[in-house]
Amino acid sequence: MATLSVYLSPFAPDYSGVSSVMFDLNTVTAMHDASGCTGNYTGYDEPRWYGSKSPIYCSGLREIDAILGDDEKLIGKMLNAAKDIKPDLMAVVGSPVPMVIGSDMVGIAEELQARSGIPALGFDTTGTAYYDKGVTLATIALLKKFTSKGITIPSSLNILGANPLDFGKGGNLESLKGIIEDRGYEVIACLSMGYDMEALRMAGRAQINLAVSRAGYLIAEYMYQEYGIPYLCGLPFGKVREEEYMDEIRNVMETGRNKIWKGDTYEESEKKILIIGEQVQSNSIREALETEYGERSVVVGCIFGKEENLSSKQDVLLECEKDIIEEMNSGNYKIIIADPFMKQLMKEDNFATFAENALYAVSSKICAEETPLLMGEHFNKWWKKYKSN
Amino acid sequence: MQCKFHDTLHYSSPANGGRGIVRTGMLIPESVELFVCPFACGRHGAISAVKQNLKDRLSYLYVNQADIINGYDDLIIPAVAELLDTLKKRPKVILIFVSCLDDLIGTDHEALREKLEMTYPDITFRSCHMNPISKGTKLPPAISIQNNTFSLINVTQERDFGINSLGNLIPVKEESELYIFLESLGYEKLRHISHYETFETYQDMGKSFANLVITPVARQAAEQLKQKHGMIYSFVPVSYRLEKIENDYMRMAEELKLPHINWKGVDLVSFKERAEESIEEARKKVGKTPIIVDASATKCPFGLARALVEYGFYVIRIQTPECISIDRDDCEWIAENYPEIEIVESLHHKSVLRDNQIPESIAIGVDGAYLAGSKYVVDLFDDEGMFGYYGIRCLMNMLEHAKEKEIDLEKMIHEYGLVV
Repeated sequence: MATLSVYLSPFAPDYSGVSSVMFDLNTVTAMHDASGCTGNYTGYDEPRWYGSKSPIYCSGLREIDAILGDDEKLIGKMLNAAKDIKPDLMAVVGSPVPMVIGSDMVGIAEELQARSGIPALGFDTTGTAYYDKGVTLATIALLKKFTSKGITIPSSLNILGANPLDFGKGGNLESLKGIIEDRGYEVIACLSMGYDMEALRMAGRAQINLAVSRAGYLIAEYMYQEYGIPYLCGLPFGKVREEEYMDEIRNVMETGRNKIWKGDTYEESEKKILIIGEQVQSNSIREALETEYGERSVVVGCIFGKEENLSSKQDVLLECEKDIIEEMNSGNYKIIIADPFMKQLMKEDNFATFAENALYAVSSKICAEETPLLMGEHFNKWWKKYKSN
Repeated sequence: MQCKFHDTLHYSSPANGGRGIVRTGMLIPESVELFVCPFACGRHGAISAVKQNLKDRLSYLYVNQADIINGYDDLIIPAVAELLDTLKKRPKVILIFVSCLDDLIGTDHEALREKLEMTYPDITFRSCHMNPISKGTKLPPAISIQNNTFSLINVTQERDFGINSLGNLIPVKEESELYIFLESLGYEKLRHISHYETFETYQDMGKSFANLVITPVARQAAEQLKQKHGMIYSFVPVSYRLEKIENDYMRMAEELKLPHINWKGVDLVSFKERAEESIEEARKKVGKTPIIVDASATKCPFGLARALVEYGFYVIRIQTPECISIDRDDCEWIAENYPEIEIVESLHHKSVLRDNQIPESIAIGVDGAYLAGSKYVVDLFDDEGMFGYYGIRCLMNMLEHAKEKEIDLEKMIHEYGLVV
């Protein structure tokens, strides 16, 4: 169903999610588009693009190629680039036009692999789904291709679902790694941001996985089914929660049982807190508000889709701008935590406190400087600004 | 060296892109834009519009796969109604933009426009295309948006001795001798779309006797205005070569001649002399510092490079995605006379490697600066504001001072807010 969006900018799409996963690897990756889709990714969805040498390209698709279904042209360009770049992997990434003309991206990848001997992946992304779907698709495809189970390395773990659209340039991820490594754990692979092919190959040997986003949860589920690696889903926001997170890691390692942090406590009250954003991050903010500040009425507004296993009963799916406006202005909230772009959606008679939590998938580089550090006690410092209101 | 460009996978550097058709369309006074496309297609334009403070005139109707299969024509009319209910001020013009995929599904835009104008008779509609898939055809988006923009000028019986400048996003700087030249021809004002705050006053452009086209993207629009309004036009792309500028003024005098004026010429010697002085000053200061000429700065990088080497500067590299037809002669001239100048194809897949850095260079244009890692940049984009001898002076002034301060290139690129 078509939806109108008057105020907000479109969120990051699936093909940007795939490309962000490929960014760290030595690939030849091509978005099969004319230029604009690649421009979305390189200009507004990839904070690491400036100064990088990541061979992620645009296929330069033209009308005549689309009409004739000329896949050979793309294949030829890919093979030529591979001669110069000498990649470990090739990937072709779909966009709206390949969707309309029914290009078989997976088939093109198979052809590439057969002709070059270089592993290749194809993604039928369409520009009609959000980035997290792309992150999930690409990471699982890489795992299927390069990762086997292997012997478990004790006290080791992977971070799953790490991507720039949730974590910007990665300040919170670095902080998380620091917290984990300080406690003596080894991070084998941080998928899919800040990793390499060797880490990807070793990922099957981790003792547990840490899922740090919705995409991370879906990847963790896959790895649990495929490699039997249990997971903890959540982030250690807040000083107390940091300690509890460490306890939880030990617990998952000992029991092999998965654990999802989502903040189950809920008491109906007149004035609640609304967190709009990515589900796992939002759940972790909720957990921190509950544990550290005794907040019991926190609702997560899911703007990139609602994963039921990550949801509490009070959570809401906000599918379009109208939904977001209605929820924000329902009169139910004393505090709204959301991307700075959403502040404009508050009506004049809405006196809720607006707490800024910039999301790269929403406001891109425009608000990147306002991305707060939330790991461990950074969260407490951040929240101090708002809790008195 | 040769004037040949390879059809490879395209590298998109952080400095790749232009001002974008969203911003071009926004020049139309009292207009809003409604993009009808998968949400993904709108992201770069929207974020860039936020940066330019234009987002309040830009909205989206996101279509999904089912809408695309079923055709989305019928969804647009109710979406316009919803949009109008939301907007604080009723627009005079709504540009309905569709994206690449629309080229493949056969939307009947003329029928749609008729329906919309019947439903909202106080609003003028145009169907516009953000379809880079059409690059290489006669109607890529940069040209079609110009056509649409100037098609909104109604035919009028009133005619004055104004002249419109078409295709340039911002007006030629007022200090340019162009104004004096046009005055000498009998033209009373040089009109530019950005001068108008209302759609009604924008119609004044219809009174003009002639059009001056200084970028290639508006040539079709000028031709259409000639057919529709009988306006003569002259196509005079920005040049930085003294000789060419002189010839261009002579040609303009011929092509833009007013019937009642017996032109006796105009003395532009002092302007030319000041341009020559500025060249001399810049050359002394820049010395043998290597210069990179990049197509983000000018439509005709080969023409600019030729001008610079003729003036005695040391041009080491020309960076461009292509050689456009009006730049071909100068490309060949460079190939013949300065084959040692490196040609970097900015879109070539190997450009990602940035393996030939020239940090001590002065780059004219941000994209060239990025690939070369230049410490010094001449902040010129798309010839904006430039024309004639005064354009040379501006450029030389920037060159002269370029080495005084190392540039924060990332910040500069961010502030440009470019769209691919």
